[in-house]
Amino acid sequence: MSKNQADEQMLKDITRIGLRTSVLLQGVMIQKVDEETLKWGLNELDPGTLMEKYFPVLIQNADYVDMLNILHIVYSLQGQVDFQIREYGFDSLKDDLHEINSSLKQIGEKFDLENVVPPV
Amino acid sequence: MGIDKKQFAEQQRRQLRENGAIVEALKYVKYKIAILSGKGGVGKTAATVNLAAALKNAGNNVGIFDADLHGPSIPAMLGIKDEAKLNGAFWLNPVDTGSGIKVLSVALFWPGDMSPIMWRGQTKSRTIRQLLSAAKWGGLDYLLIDLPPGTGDEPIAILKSIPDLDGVIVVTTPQEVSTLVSSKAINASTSLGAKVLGLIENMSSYTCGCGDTVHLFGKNKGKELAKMMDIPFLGSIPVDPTFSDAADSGVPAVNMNPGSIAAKAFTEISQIISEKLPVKEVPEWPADTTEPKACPGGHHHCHPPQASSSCGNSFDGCGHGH
Repeated sequence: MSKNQADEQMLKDITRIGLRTSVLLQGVMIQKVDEETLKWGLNELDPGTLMEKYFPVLIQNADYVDMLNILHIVYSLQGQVDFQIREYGFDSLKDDLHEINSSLKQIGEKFDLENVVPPV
Repeated sequence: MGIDKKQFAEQQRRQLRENGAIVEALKYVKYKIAILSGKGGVGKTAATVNLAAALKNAGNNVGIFDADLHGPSIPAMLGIKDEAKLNGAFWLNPVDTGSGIKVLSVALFWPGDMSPIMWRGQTKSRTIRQLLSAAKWGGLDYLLIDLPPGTGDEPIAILKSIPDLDGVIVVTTPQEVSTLVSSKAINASTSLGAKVLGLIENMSSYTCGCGDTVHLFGKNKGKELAKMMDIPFLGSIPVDPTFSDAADSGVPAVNMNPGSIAAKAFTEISQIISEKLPVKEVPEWPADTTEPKACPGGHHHCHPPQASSSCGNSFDGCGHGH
């Protein structure tokens, strides 16, 4: 796999996890997703595997900062969602949704996403 | 509105489980001390770096956790060029400095010197907890935690997340405005159950070449604040023009100019701190241990309890969110 192909795969994987988390959090906002389902969903997204795979690449390039941001948000949310809900309440997840969407928008403006990310 | 015994037991169990990963990650660290200030610009980070260097010079194993997510400057002040490395899917290895101090900072894995971190309160708290539970410090005598100024999310997250924090050191300058807000930081620490080990007055005076000493921002303000708040006064650090050079060159002033008044003051304060802390034993770091790779400490797995957990720990003792 060439460097460009590898980067394209990373872009695809991280954009996909960002979109899926966004859908999950939107579900929380409209009360279609409860706490248990949220935890299950975050666990299913398995951000740790992507973190392990892409972390060394992401920290090297400032252009990838939005991808690192998305991955970090999902990763830390998965690990600390109980803490967040206890300390900040369920509604605080709207800030994470906003942050993920903002980073997805930045990625969309920075990279050519056509044909990279299939519909969620 | 009260809760019954069953609910209380469940609450306790949940808190233990959630903090368990952090406790587990810090179990080989003897003393955990947070460095706090009421306002920015009082030299808290410089104090952290120099106290760490003085403690290291006294033969201790020392680590610094840079919890200042928006303005992480510990790596620059210690001349660190390497990035932090993931160890498996979850564990994060701190970076060793040339002087042997271990450092973990968000600056060590955030790309680009000019890329800002724009997280909100809960993301900052989560990040701090995630890093605390993921760091592989090894055996440490002292872990100094450099907090951002004030009493925002990061200090609160630290004070709430480390159950056996040994204490807080407050750094201030002698100005009225600084001592005033320091009292808020002291009250915030005590209200969260953290012991205040003492107060350091930075930039206390300047001694010019002719030998005259000038108290630029007032005299004994730090000492008076410590007396008023009924906390120990650890010492004064005079203004030292070589401090700036030391910070820019990435070498602690304590090591660059060990004979300077400021360096001697830091060494004395580090000795006072060491003497203040009670004798404590922690398990010895098993250096040859097999790194648990697949079981992230702060994660809440959904896999069922089983005898051979992938993290290598028993279900009861793991402390992870199984």
